Amino acid sequence: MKDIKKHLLYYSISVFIFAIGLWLIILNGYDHKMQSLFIIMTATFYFVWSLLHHYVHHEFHPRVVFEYMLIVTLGTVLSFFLFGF
Amino acid sequence: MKDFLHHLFIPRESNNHRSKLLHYEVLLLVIAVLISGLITMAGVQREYPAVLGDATRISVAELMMQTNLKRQENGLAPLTLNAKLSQAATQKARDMFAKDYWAHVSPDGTTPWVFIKDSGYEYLYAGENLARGFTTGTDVVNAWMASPTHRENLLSPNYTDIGFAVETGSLTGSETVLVVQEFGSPYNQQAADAGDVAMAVSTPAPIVVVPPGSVSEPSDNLSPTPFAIAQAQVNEPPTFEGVASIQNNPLIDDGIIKRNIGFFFLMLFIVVLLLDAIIVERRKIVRVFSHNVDHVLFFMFILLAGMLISRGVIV
Repeated sequence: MKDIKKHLLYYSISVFIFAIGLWLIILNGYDHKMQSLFIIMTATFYFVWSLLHHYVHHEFHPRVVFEYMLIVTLGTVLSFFLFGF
Repeated sequence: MKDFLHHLFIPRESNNHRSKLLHYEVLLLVIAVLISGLITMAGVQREYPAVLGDATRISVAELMMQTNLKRQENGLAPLTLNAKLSQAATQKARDMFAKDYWAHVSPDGTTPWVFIKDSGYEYLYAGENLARGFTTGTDVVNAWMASPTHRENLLSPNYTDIGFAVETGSLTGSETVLVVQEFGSPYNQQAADAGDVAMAVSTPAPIVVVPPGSVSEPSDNLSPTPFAIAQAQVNEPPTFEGVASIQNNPLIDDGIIKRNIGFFFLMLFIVVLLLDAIIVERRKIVRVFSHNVDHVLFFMFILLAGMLISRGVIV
C-alpha cells in the first residue's frame, strides 16, 4: 500500500497503458494479427515505462532490467496459450 | 511437501525472503517449460490430430440457420442455399489450404469472384466472409455480426443466395477448420434457380427455400469485372457430402487445455506476487526494489485480454 501511495502517478499511468492496450485489443476483435501486435506493443510500453520510472528514481540496475524482461516474456508466452496465436 | 510449498510461495529465510517462484532462475525455468510445451503441443497436434486438436462442431445447417435468423431479426428476407456458391466456397477453401494463405485474395491475385464465376454462378452482386478456428457455427456467425464489414455482407439486402464450405486442413502451420461464406444475387434468375438446394429436411424452421427476390440495382463495387449475361445452364444440383459439417472430437481439446494452462499460470503468479507483497510489508522486510504491484497489473492485463478475446479469427 505504501508503495502504491508513493508511486501513485507511475501506477496510474501503468493502468492507463494497460487500459489503452485492452481497448485496442477489443476494438480489433477476431483479428489475431492486430491483437498480438497490441499485446506485444503494450508489453513493450510497460517494459520501457517501468525502466524509465526506475531510472528517474535512481533505481536503475541490470537486475531490474532482467526482472522486467522475464516478466514481460512470461506474460507474452502466457498470452500465446490464452489466445492460441 | 508442505515445507517445499512454503519455500516456493511464501517469503522466508530459506528463499531469501522472496517467494522462490519469483526468483530469476525459476522464472527462466517456467518460461523455458512453457515455450517447450507450446512447441511440443504444436508437434503433437500436427502428428496426432486425433489425440490433440481443436474440438469443432460446425455444420452448414447451423451456419445457414444462424445467418437467416440474423437477417430475419433485421427485417431482411432469408437467403437461399445455392449449390454453385457452395461449390465456389469449397474451391476457395481448398485453394487457401493448397496455397497456404488466409485472405480474400490469394498470393497470386486470385479474387473470390474467380471461384464464383468458375462455379457457373453469374452474379450481379457477390461477397465473401471467412472464418477459422471457431468451435461452433453460432460462434462464427456471432463473430461476423460483431465486425461491421462482415455484418454488412450478412445483412445486405442485395444478396438472395448463399453458399458455404466447412473444410479442415493445415493452414499457416496449424490444423484448422475453415468456414467460407459466399454471397450472391444472380444476374440471370434461371441460372440461380438451377443451383438452389432444398434444405427443408436437414435444417430447422428459420431456413425457408424461397425464390430469390428481384434486384434492380447493378453492382458497382463487388463485381470487379463486367460480364455478359450467360445462358442459364441447368446442372444437377451437387450434394454437400463431406462439406455439410465438420465434427472434430479429439481426445484432448487443444484450445481448452492451452487456455487452462494460461489461466492457471497467470492466476498462480498474480496470487504469489500479491502474497509476497503483503507478507513483505507486514514483516517490514526491507527490499531495495519492489515491483510486485506493477507485475500484478501486467498479468491482470493479459488475463483480462484472454477472457475477452475469442480464439476464432475472421477476415
